[in-house]
Amino acid sequence: MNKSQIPDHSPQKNSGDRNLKAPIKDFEPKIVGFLCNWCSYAGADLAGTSRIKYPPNIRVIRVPCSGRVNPLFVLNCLMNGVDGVLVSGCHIGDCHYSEGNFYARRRFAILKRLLEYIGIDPRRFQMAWVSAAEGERWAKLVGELVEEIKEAGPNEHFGGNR
Amino acid sequence: MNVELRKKAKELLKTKQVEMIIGYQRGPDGISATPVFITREEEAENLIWDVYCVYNLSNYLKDFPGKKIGIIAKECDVRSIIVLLQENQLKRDDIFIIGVECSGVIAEHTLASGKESPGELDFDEKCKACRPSTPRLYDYLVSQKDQKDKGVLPEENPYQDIRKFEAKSIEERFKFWQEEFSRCIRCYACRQICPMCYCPRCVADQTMPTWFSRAPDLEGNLAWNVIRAFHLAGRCIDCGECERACPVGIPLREVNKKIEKDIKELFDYEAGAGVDQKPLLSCFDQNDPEDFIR
Amino acid sequence: MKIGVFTCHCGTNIAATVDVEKVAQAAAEFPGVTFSTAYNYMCSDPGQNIVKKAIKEHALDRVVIASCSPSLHEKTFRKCVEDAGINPYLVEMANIREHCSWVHPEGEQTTAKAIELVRIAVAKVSRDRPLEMTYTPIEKKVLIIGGGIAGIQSAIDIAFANYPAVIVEREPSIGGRMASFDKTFPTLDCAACILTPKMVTVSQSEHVTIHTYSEIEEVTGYVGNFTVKIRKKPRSVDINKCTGCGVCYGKCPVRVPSEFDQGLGKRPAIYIPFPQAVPNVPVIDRESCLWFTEQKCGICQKVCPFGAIDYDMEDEIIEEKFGAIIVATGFQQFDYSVYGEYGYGKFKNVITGLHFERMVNSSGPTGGKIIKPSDGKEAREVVFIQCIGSRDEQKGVPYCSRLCCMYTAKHALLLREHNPDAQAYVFYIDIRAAGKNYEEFVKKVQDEYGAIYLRGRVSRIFEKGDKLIVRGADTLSGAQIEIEADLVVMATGLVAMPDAVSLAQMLHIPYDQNNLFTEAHPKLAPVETITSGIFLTGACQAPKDIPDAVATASAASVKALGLMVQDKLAREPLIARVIPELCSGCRACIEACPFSAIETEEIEDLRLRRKRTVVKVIEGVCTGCGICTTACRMSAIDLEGFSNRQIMEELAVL
Repeated sequence: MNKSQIPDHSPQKNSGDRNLKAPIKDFEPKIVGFLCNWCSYAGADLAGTSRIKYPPNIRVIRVPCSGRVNPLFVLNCLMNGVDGVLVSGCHIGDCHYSEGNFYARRRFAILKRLLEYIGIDPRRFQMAWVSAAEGERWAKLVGELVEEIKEAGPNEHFGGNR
Repeated sequence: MNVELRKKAKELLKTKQVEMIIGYQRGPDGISATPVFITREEEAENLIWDVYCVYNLSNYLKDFPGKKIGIIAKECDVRSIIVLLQENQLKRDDIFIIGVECSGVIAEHTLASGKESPGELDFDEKCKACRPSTPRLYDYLVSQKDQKDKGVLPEENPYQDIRKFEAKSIEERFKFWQEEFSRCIRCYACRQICPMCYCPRCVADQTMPTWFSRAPDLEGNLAWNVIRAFHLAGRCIDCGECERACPVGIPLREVNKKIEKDIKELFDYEAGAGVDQKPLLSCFDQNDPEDFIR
Repeated sequence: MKIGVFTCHCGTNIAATVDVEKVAQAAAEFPGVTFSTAYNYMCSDPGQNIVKKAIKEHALDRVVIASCSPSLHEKTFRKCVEDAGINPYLVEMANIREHCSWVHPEGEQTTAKAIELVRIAVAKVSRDRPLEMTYTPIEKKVLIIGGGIAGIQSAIDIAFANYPAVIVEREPSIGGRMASFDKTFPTLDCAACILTPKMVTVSQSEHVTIHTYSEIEEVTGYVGNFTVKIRKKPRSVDINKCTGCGVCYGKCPVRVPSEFDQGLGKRPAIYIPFPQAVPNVPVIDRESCLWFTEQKCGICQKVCPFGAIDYDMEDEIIEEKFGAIIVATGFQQFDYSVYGEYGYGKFKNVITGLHFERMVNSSGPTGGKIIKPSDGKEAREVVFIQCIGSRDEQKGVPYCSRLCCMYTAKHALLLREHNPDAQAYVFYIDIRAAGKNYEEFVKKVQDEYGAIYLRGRVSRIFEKGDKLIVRGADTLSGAQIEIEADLVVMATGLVAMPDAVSLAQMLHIPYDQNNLFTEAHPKLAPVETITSGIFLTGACQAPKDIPDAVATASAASVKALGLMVQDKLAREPLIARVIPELCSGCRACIEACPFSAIETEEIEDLRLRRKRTVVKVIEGVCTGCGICTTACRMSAIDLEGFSNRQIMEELAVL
């Protein structure tokens, strides 16, 4: 996977040069965000309606609730060479389904520690609470994530079969 | 105590309280213990219980739905039975637990070293972190009168090795597991032997969608080994069967124990604590830690 | 598969930073895409017509709209494709406006991201499944749990719309707490005068059935289709034969403290709780009746001219079906005996606000005289202490009970009206009089009725002779205060009923750390619960005064009626779905589901050739959160619209 430029929109992906370590300054990480429909997705929408600028590196997957995010989704991203994964839901107490983020919090506390244990950079998997009113917070979060993952460098361990 | 064990087994079969008893018998090498399934009273004479009875027999219980089964179980085995009861894979009324007091079983691999007497043999790693104990759930307890305490000392800090490993650099950790997992041949022996792996079709075998690479490449192996351990979170009782069964010697317990330690620290949760316990990931506490969340 | 992609300029909203034509061209190359175009405003009528026309001309079977957030126009385009003959759930939106054109600068990168977002949407739509709305029938009857003012108002509203309502009230009469109040703030209407007509209305309504002396035993089912078991406790008086003549309780030899009068007065063992009781039928208190305790007496049975007394009456369980449930179970007073400094509830002349209500009531046990319960002498110096149990995280509850400031002001006023020589002292922390004419009322009590308000807490009360010495601080002047009082009135807070938790569990509705029932949303759904078809009114949700209780009662009724008027209940098909072959029956999903929307069923497993237990989703109850899908290790439960295959396909093209 070519990390030096994010716009890779050819129908077939180029997988030949994944082992080339791109200089950090040119590296544009690819980040996947799983956003709950009711808070975080709406918060990202608000960032849009407020025209708050942030880096374009994030791809949002809309899910009804952070409790819907299966650890297998996260693993799939990381194993396919995605540089960073974010799971974002409502703040505790605000879940549209009242309990979903509690389950997500518990599940990903375990997964996060486990991934770190087997040597995956903790910056590559992160969780955040972003409410529907926090457009600014969303933009700031994406900016920070991009910086952190740039520092972590490309996820070059994986993605060989793409 | 084998006398008492056999007597009870006979009685259970005779009075038809159970249709079958799953226990241990001496193996063909005259030392090790192998599983045995007995249905007739006279077969009860073959039953044994000693430090060579390493295996967790609870894995077999699910194979006889609707039958009344007696099972010989030590504390760790009983905890796996408890998890299976919690998860409705067994009916309490269908099983008769013959509990045995345990002060540790031997490390199976040391049998090949030529040492024979229990005194010379190493105890299994899993036992070193466990106190000599009476099962927390049983229908009949065979007491340990005539077997003296082998004196397995519980390790002071059961997670010492885990913590030591956690302290290593991220590169070292990755390198270690990359090497370990690269040996994985995806034979799924770990899954086959695990009492908790009873899914009708494992996610590793599903194709709609295919969750991760089915080939024994790094991505597939890592995903498999992570999700295997993750799916055991709050369920693994550290019987160690997976590691014992692994033909390429991947230290699977080191992954299982990591989660065991974390859930104890994070949620004060121990797998198989009691039949009424809620599944770890189907419950939560309002105050679960969230310092990792931004 | 023939996917059509329609990219929107949104005027310049998208086109200013994204090369829309380039997006449309790139999308045309994606697998499965057979048509791709761009237009200025896709959501406009001409825009929608482009979509419809393309569907027909190019025989499209799935559609991606690349435009704004799905929260704006997902419904629009579902309808649009449906009009053109495609299943409405075979459309996906790529949010290239809020998540792209508006947040990134003009340039190649932004266009590239837009193309990526379309690629993801195309991948998802390729795994969409056609779905149909589901419909469940609705039982056209509303259950109201609790017959206080909130429950009564709900029943009146339901009945007014010509739908049947059933009130289940635990006490022998409806009326609730309000029935025992004397006057109501801030207008000083007599509580009975405004409540009694409502009680009569509800009891005479042909649409309302009232089960008094009854409790909820079991609730199963879901919105539109609840099955409820009601336990009718034995009243020992045949409600159909009794005319309410009153001969029986006139002759009863037993006298025990009256619950209605807060123990200040006495009642017989066969009694009606208060004169305006509905139904006006006595009940025998079997714990004090001589027939039941000593197997003797039987006078009431002998004197009853209608043969209505039935000592052999037993519990009766009735089962009824309901489409909606309104919970109006109210509150109890905080038990102030935890406060040692106030005498642990042992001093006779320390009473609660509810005692005071009965005492000041002209038909109450003292005939409206405000007396010292210890000796019956008139009380002149009266100290009121606010925030008893409220705003006290140590011994009470953390919240403000909202009405104590007002009822205390009312008591101070009534004290002076009943006894012009009396003096009221009110210890308060803050005065919270946020209601229409409330602040004016408190001011009137201070200015015109001479009540002395002291800001501070009482540190101790002790008896000295026939007086109570009340010691406290006035934090405004800094002075230590000591008052020789005849009577101390505790403004006890409002707390959840003792059995609130068990009722909540029966109803599968959440409750908070104070055991108050939790609304679905604190602002936007204050009378709903997260369990569809169950609504909240009155103080069971949080302390409420009468106007608030009545307002929420009508609000809850509207919500319930909103269900009643439907022929069938339409449900979004974006709900969980079980794949039984993959299910092990471990029930992790059942434990995790916040809505109790999953149950077990036995299936014949053809492969194993035996019966086994798996789970199934209750369509009417599932809200589509997908929590079950991650609780399930075997991925045997999936979520329509956000299925595993859809999401994995999205990830595959990243």
